[in-house]
Amino acid sequence: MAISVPDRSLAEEHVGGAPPVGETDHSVAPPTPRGDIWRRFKRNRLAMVGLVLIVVIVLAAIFADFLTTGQPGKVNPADANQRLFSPGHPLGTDRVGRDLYTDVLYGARVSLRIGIFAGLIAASIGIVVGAISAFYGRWIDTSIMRFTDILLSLPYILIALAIITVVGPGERTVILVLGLLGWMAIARVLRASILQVKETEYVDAARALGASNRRIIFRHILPNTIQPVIVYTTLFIGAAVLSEAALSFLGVGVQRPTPAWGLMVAEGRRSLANYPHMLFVPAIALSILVVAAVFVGDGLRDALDPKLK
Amino acid sequence: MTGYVIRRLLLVIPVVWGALTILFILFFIVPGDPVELMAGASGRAVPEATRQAIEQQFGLDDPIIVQYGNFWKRTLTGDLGTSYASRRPVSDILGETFPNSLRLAIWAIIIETVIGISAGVLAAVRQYSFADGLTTVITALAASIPVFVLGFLFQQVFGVFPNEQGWPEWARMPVQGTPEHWNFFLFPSASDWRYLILPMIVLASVGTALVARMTRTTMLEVARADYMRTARAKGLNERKVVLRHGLRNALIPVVTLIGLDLANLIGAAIITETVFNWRGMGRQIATSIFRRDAPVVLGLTLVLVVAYVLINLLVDLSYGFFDPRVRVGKEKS
Repeated sequence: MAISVPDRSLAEEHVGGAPPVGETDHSVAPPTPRGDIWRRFKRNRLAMVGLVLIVVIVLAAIFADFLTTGQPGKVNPADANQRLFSPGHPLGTDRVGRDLYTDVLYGARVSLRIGIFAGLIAASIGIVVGAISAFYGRWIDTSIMRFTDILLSLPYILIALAIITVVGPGERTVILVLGLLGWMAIARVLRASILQVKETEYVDAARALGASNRRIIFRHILPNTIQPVIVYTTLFIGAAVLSEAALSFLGVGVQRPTPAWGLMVAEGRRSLANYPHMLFVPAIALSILVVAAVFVGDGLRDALDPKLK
Repeated sequence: MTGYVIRRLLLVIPVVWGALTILFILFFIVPGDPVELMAGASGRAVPEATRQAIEQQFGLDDPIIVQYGNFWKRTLTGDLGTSYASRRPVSDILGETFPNSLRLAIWAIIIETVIGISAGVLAAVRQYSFADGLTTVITALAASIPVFVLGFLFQQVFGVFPNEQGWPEWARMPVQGTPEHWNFFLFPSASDWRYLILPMIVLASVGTALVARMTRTTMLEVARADYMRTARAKGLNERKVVLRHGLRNALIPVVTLIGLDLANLIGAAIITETVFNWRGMGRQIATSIFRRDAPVVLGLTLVLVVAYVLINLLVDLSYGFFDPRVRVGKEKS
């Protein structure tokens, strides 16, 4: 299942971006770039809090089957409107008797899937587009950048609404729409940093040694420019989870019976006056995930930027 | 300088053209029949004669390429078309909703910049202090609560709850509606103020958090610059060093962010206006999309896109004010 992706420490996972090093043993005295990044990341308390929170959410999502007894999204009118800590329903139930504890755990799967897959789509498109733009330059660059300008000038929610009314709402649509509309910032950031790195001596040196374009791109330029992309993608994952909530509020997000946190929040708003827990339980889960993504993203940015030691 | 502005203004054209073309195509393939919408028959069969009359009046029986041509022909002559749903000219709807949205957005941007920048500077000046930690946590929270949740919470806490408790009039915030009367365009008259406060804060919340975080980061970067040390060395007091040398240089990325964030602000406005029933373009667009009322969506979006591009042009031009090194046009002389 795809949600196991961020299970490993994000910092560890992304140091593929650091220049290639032969030895990665952390205990050896001269710090490797990888160990160095992890050490700086560890020092950032908020980032570590974020990382722990994300690990907890991922574990909850993976082991939802073992941690709950009920069935996600199961309507049970007899148990409707149960408050917090009621017997059998530690987090209460909603208007139609769905157990919130069960739904929040299973909802973690859906929300993580949305964030991660939308993030992967956005990052892949952004990397390809940004790299092409920076490498080929000239009219290709101009037209690609003009196209990103066009997409950036349209409020994403507007295009999302239009696309979703065409293809119909649902989890897959939400992932696709958010991914397809989220790559522009990543492409721009990558393009800018490639343009800087392209002029450096080590790229000239590689070219002088007769390295192929492919080798220069994948061995020399991308590893040195991928860091802002990692940071942006982490932050985007949080933003995508939030966007799911916005789309669900407008009625075009994930559809029942699938429980997604944004959808549950949107449903809970109707009972805010009498049963606030129906809004707060999923809203707190959602905000924790988003905050954690922000903290980890910030921590990564500081850890990856050698200037900010 | 003038040449640069003109070149940038010309770049507005392909962006606006591309954006509207994308929307036009999207709306052409959106399922749903505008004829049914206009005949007021949701689901019922429309008599053939009526259908033909409507199709002819709006040119809906033409092939897409002809419709596309006609769309631009009338748009370029300043005619935004007629709403399918209400049969009113889109320009009337625009005239009604645009000022309301603009007012709300201006107030939100004022809050964003004033509070966001002050909080960011404070946090940076006292890095790792309690105030810094508090700012970090609050901004992270503000940016991680869905806009509509914040809206409903505010309505509950400042409107519904005080009402139930029978608090005095001034302590109860109205949760729905738009001020009717405005002074000097921006200031709601006397008691109408209370309609503005909640939506304004909700709309500003996300942007304020972003601006505060961005200001903090860039202030910290700038703090290490040589000119900061020079400024201190020549005996300027700390206040001047921070504000004149630090902040002014740190503001460039912040201003860029505010410009780029405009698209997000518009998105958030769609939600905020819906939550607070604010008679603005955001709410109108949301309703019109669901009604498949293409002329309204396209007309209002045209205005949004043009505004977005022009404001970002202003942002680029403002760099010269904040940082003399990037004053455009000077590099050649």
